[in-house]
Amino acid sequence: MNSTRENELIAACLRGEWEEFRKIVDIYKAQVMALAMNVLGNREDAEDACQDTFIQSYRNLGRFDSQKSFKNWIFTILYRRCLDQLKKRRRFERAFHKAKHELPCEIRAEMSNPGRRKALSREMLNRLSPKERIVVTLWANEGFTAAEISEVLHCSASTARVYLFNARKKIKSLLEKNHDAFKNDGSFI
Amino acid sequence: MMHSKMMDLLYDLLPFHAWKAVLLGGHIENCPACSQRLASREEARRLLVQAGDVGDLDGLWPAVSERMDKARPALTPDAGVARISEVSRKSKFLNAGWRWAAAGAGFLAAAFMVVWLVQYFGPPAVRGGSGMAAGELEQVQIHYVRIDNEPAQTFIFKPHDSNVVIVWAGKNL
Repeated sequence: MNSTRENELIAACLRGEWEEFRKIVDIYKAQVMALAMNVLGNREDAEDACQDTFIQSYRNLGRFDSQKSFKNWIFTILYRRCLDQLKKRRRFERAFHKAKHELPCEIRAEMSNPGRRKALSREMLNRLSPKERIVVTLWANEGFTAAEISEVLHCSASTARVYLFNARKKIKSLLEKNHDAFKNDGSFI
Repeated sequence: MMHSKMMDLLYDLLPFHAWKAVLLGGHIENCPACSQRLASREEARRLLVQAGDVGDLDGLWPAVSERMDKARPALTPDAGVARISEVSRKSKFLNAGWRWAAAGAGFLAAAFMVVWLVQYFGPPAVRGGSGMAAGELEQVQIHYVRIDNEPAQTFIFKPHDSNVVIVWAGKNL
């Protein structure tokens, strides 16, 4: 559930104090960006998706139900923006006859620590569907349960559990396959 | 190992998410052997970008703010409400106008149809005029007409709604 501070910020925005929206952006920008990067695998697209997400939430803030979780709401918007980005990308790739084997978008080594590429590998991006990527990110990074994930995806909890199970199985198999590629500290080569 | 593979096979064979979820809840998530084939939260996190890894996001707010500025005039709550009510008032008016126009047109069409039906199929008194009775019409007879000393064709016509009887003759061609 939302903190009192979040509810105050939302109420202030709705009163017309739109400068307060910056504080909302500051609270969520890192989480939203991480989620977008995990789904899209690309910083530029993730930044676009983040911008669109905050703008859309700004436009629709009046429709937000304060009884529900603001975080889930903003993640739902992001999830849809990411799916839109992926659709656009597929259309673009089709138009230019890009080979399927190519990475949809290179993960840029623009992380804070380029030595440790804690990013989804090319293989993982290809193996997991966008829904599986978002489900596993919400589960692993945000600690969401299947019921909470189902709220974000607007699906049943059982469907969310199935996506999560598939994603976890694929990741495990990937980790086992690339066992030697992992150093002791867990960084992916 | 064999047991887990069997479960995987069974899971893959199930066609619906709901059925798969029953198998997950009923067995796979609670079975240590099957759970071993799933990545833990920690293992998944090792492959995922974390909030702390995203680096510098200082450019995000200026970009968002710029786009907010463009949208703001229409988005202040009062303006938004005013715009929405104006739009809904207009659309209500248009909807109501169209409804009345359609109802009026329908009524006129129905009235026209009733008048037409009465005119053509109603009793003679309603059809207008006293009209010529059937007997009277039978009395109008042309026995013989010649044109240019040759027998001609003759016609007698009486419109439904008139007392006029039209008689004409034509040359046989």
